[in-house]
Amino acid sequence: MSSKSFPNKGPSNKNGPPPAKKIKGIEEKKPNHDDDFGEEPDEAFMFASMDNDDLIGQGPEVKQTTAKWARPSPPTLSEEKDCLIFQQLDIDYYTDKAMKGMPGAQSGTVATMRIFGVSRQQNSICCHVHGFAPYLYVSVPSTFKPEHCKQFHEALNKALIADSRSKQEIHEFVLEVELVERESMYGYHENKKSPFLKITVALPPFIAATKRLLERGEIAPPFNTMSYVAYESNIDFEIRYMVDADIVGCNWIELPAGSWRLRPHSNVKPITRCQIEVDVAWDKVISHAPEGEWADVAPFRILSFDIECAGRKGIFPEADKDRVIQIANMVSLYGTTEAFVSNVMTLDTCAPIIGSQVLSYKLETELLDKWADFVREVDPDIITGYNICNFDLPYLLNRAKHLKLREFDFLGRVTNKKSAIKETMIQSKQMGRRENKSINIDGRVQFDLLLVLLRDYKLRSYTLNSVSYHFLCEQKEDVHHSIITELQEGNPQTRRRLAVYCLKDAYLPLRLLDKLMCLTNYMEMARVTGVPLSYLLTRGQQIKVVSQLLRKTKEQGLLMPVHKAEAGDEFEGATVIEPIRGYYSQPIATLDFSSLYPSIMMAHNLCYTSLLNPRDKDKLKEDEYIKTPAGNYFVKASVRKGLLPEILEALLAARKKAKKDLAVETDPLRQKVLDGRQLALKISANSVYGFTGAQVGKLPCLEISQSVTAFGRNMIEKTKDEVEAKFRVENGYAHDAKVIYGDTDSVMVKFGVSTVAEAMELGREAAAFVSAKFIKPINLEFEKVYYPYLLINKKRYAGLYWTKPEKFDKMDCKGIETVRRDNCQLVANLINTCLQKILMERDPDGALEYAKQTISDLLCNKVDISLLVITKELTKTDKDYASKQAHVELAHKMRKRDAGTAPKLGDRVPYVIIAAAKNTPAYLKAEDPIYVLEHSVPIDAQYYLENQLSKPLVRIFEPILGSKAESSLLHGDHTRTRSVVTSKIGGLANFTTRKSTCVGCKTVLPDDSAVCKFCKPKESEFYQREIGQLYALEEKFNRLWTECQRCQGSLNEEVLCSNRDCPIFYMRTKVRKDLTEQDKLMKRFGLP
Amino acid sequence: MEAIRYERKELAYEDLSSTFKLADRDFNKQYAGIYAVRLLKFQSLLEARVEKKWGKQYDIKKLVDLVPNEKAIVFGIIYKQQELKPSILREVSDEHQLLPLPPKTRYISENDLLILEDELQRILLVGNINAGDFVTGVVTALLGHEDDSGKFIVEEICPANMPIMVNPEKHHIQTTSYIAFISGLDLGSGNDSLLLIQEMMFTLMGKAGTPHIQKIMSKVSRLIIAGNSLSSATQDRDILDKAKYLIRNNMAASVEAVQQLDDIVFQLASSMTVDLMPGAHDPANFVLPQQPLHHCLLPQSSELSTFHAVSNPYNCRIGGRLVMGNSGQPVLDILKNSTLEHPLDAMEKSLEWGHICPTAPDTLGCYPYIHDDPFIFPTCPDIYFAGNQEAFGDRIWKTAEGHPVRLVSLPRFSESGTIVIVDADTTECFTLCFGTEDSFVDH
Repeated sequence: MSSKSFPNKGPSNKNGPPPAKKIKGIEEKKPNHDDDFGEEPDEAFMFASMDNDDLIGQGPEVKQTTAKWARPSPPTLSEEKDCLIFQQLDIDYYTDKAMKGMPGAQSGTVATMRIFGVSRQQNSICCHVHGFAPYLYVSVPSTFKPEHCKQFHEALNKALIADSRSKQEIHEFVLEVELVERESMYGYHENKKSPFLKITVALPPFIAATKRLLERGEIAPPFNTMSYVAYESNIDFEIRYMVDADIVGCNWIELPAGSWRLRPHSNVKPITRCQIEVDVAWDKVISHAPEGEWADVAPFRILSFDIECAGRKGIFPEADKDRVIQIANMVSLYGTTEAFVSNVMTLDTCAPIIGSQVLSYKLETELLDKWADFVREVDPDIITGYNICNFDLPYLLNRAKHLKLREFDFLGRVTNKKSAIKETMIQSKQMGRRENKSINIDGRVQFDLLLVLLRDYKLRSYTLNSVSYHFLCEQKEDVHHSIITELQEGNPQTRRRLAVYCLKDAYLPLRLLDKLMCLTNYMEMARVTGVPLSYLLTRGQQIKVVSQLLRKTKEQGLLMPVHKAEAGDEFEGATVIEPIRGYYSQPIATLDFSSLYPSIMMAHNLCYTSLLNPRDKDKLKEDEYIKTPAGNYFVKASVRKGLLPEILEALLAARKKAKKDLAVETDPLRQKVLDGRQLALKISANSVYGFTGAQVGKLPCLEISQSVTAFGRNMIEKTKDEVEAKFRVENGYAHDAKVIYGDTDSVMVKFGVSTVAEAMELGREAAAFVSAKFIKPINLEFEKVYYPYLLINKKRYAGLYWTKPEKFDKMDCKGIETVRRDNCQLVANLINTCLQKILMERDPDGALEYAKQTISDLLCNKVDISLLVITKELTKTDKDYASKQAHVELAHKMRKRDAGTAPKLGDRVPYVIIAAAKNTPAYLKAEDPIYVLEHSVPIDAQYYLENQLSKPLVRIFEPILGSKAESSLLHGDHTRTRSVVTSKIGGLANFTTRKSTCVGCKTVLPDDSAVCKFCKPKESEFYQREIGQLYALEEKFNRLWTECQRCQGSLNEEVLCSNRDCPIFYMRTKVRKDLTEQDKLMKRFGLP
Repeated sequence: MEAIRYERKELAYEDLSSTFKLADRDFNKQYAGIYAVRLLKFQSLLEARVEKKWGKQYDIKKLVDLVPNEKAIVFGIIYKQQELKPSILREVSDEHQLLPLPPKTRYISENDLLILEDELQRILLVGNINAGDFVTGVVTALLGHEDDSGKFIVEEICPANMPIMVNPEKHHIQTTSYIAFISGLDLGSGNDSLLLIQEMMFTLMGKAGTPHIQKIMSKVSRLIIAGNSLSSATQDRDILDKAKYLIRNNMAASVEAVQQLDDIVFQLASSMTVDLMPGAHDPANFVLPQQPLHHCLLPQSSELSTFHAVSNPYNCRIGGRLVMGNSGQPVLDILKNSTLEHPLDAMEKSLEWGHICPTAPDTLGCYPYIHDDPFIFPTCPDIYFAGNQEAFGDRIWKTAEGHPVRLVSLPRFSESGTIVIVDADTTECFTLCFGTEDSFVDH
């Protein structure tokens, strides 16, 4: 059990792992590995348990309870007259007896594809596609003749029977062996084809077994002595089918009239809960490319839900102990923003909620059963929520198991198939290694918003709260988990409060999906790359390129080899022109190579198929090949046009078209689709290079990737030289141009002119001039001007970003500490404000003054504590941390104080660094911000100055102040005044009694009056000073607490929220305390 | 010329502001309490009003009990959702501060929404109700129905209006007697209005002015100073945000102005009874009710029995007349958060809603009461004034029962040189302007 990959979602404790027992055997669908490992599992041994009995049961029928929930009834269909049209969302396969009258094997067990989709009329459809069988290719020596095929077929079949331990009676493992002429896509082979065997087998797991047996020579003579190399044996069966049937993810499928049979027919009964269930032969299915009317999206049903559990104090909810007390559900149709179903199911009574249906149950078992009934009835195509895949769904399943519910697990569309939990590991460059739970809900796509955000956005925090604030500018109430049980045990009103909170958690994911257009963009990505929607969240980047490659190789008679993952050599990355650091108050023009790496691959025909073995280069004329700057050889397009360049050309052409269509499209929904598409196309084009460079990928090719970067480096250097040679005073220009920085695909040029308009003009001229020197389609574009520009270091700069001479577009910052999580908010605020002053107000002195004031505030203890909070996730138990860490020690300390509210595994621990005796190790100086507030514990300002503020500050001021930066920032006058609060705890605090001192001169007073007799004449003055403080504190008190009332959406209810990500939380606690003290002080002046 | 000696007549006086005095304040409370009390306290008044207006044909329902498309009466607190409302959260978080919005004079826009909240629920209001006419915190009754999408379609509105019970005491004034009002002396503002103030003082004290004016002045029995005796320039309201090393002590301006005020009040109080209310810029606390100015600020004046430091809001009975008012903050805040244009309109609404400062605590600071809402009009005043407004104005507004209330908006003296005189008997008002050639009386 580990919570490593579970970002905190807030109080509902979604961050920790509920105990998940491993399901025995495996599930039929996806191999338990990510494609990025490039290794295929050998599933022959697993075959026996494929249709695991654990997962099959007697699934309940759909109960129709509410007209509002169920889908509209399907029309009466005629097999002869009607064609069926639907948008598919998910494709999988299952094994069953061959169906009569369908192509392919006529007997025995075969694999059948299953396509789930929705018609334009909102009807759910399951389409069983028969006759498509899995296959692989193996290379054979040229001595292998067509007449050997039959004998080979029998020999292989025998070998597989011997190998199999299946109890099932399968006789026909191999369906067909065919001798074909093909070409490996790896390397240039003089365009000659070689002999291959295409071996078609009955079931997908036999592919790996076949490969293994052949490679080891475990087959009867004479075939055991031949050497076989397997090709395309590691392709997911669904992908194989989609490629061969020309189906891309989320496209429209048409079954012509007369081609399909509606279930039930003859002996065939429906096996799913879909409204329409049909059988069709695989060669009759028409797949529409997502163009024109087929670019539309069907009215999919999206269910968003959230659960609340009643945890015990201080312990993360465990499914075998802690009850599920509420489940909130929202269902909307794709393309609409309002949910048409909104309900909350509660354990025990709950007061009504306007706009939502409240369904209360006495028993938890009933609550869970009714929820499962609800899911089956509302029949969602897409299930979303926040962290549902790693918390809500597993928790519900485990809880149902604990309560021994028989029908709960049947959440999918396949009537008798249970949903079960599996642990998977996903690893990719993009996201690193993550543990995930995967749950099968057959026929429905799980689209966990948290997973989407983790993939696509880099954020300070991934709690639903901070994500909502970031994207929607909406805070939400955060109820501490220790309160949830209290609310549940209260009365109908307190449970209602909880329900409102739970509903919001179900509602926000829908809002965010809509706002960020996640579904649209992901569907377009599925369409562009040809993989099912679900792959995009559960698989890595590679499968997308593989899917596209396969579609091309199929056309050209090429075969994709099976790559064995092995760590390779590192190669040199992109180039960086050493920056000339400084603060530039003149406009800096930026020239960018548009789609640099794709265009290099296209311009130089870099591909697997054009890769020339150096030994063979003499067989070609000198103008038929090139040598790249990395020393590799590739044939030119005239000899053999590369696959990758073709794919890239198609992608970029499609992107151009999508952008053109977008410009004329008026329908907002289609506009979104087109915009999503052009984005998907761009990302796909850029991922091709990464695919060739991924050492542990499906098909890395170092020659390609290192040549691409080498070309890129040369081009950047060449651009610098060309620009600096042409734009000179002696060539008639007003100034000598200077390239001040260059990185990967862009160069920054100082033309010396003083206006943005002039810089733009020269930028455009330079871009056109340099572009002409490169092979098409390489294109240098003038994109923007930075003015002013603060160049701090490699990949660290900031500037105002201009694309038109009249007004700047934005302030652009790269690589500057504003989003790093282990920084406190003060750093981000300070750096932001300083940059704003430097760039927007062009007032570097003002920025310096501001920085000094902030430092002074820090040293005088005037900085709000919320700005000083540092947050770290508690990912492991104490024992697992090798070295002592501040947040772990603190969590330990807090557990001793109050186990109920202390952070638990997976929680994010907020802390501040407090002052302590000299040489106290840093990890002992962390303290709970609330504790600090309540006990007036002094902050270690010096720590914040040295460890948090100084580096980023010096960095941005160095280009302006030079080496003076550090001394003037960190050691000026402003650092001399300090104030320290006296702690109420520790040390001597327990032994001292506080006596009142004179407000004016701090003399100890004999009584509790305000001023001493010497200060009495100036009492009015002191009173005015103190009442001013009181006034300001009261104002702050009012603003903070009303803000929380607004945020929680109620005036009549007490604010309970304890969202530690929210600055208001600390501020309001602090102001309360300060105000109480100030009020007490005012009283010493006597009644008015 | 023969000198005439006038005797000032004292009018019977009773301070009714004890509800605004807070001896022990506790800020460990939240604002939920005051709203709950407000809702509860209006309940019976609204029930009476509703029955009068719509009879008994519709049920009064809690929001939770609403049945879609069934006409009913609901009570609740208005919450107005305003995107332009200043938010301290937006101000302190880094993410959205790149281009700070210029400060607005009004926080309203076309996208504002009205929501009704009762003890348990909220519901969005649409239909025959205008967001511009309402502010957050108003308790009202609505007739209408919930539609299928869960919104409440308003047909008619029934405000709480003034308490049915009016001033029980008959006013008994035999001879004409006046109450003088002044607000916004703005001492310490730099642009010196001291001469004006001098003239005003002498006039009030009967030491200057034409015999006609002197005669009038002799009938002024009481002076109410309605807030902002000090200018905003004297108060450093950003005191919490200032770096300590930059501000040692810039209290000088305030100290000097407070001394001036003591001198002025001392002289005035030597001649007549003076009630001094604190305002937004005075050295008092921020949240309503603002407590009386502390005696240590005004050592000379405090010696006089004719001087009263009073609270803001202020409620008293003078010569049997109920006089209520505030230093202007409630009215200015209603104007900021609604489309109402004139201070008198805002004051009228305030009476119609039965609440002195409905926007408190949402956009106007008030003390976090938990068992009380002292800002609900306990009885209907005869004279209702608000200090520190753009201009002078007065009007008669009648309660649902037809009881007339004199509304008076007091101009800032530092800008207008104007004081307002109200006849305690007839409640009629007129102004006295200084700084012009001759002080003139404007009836």
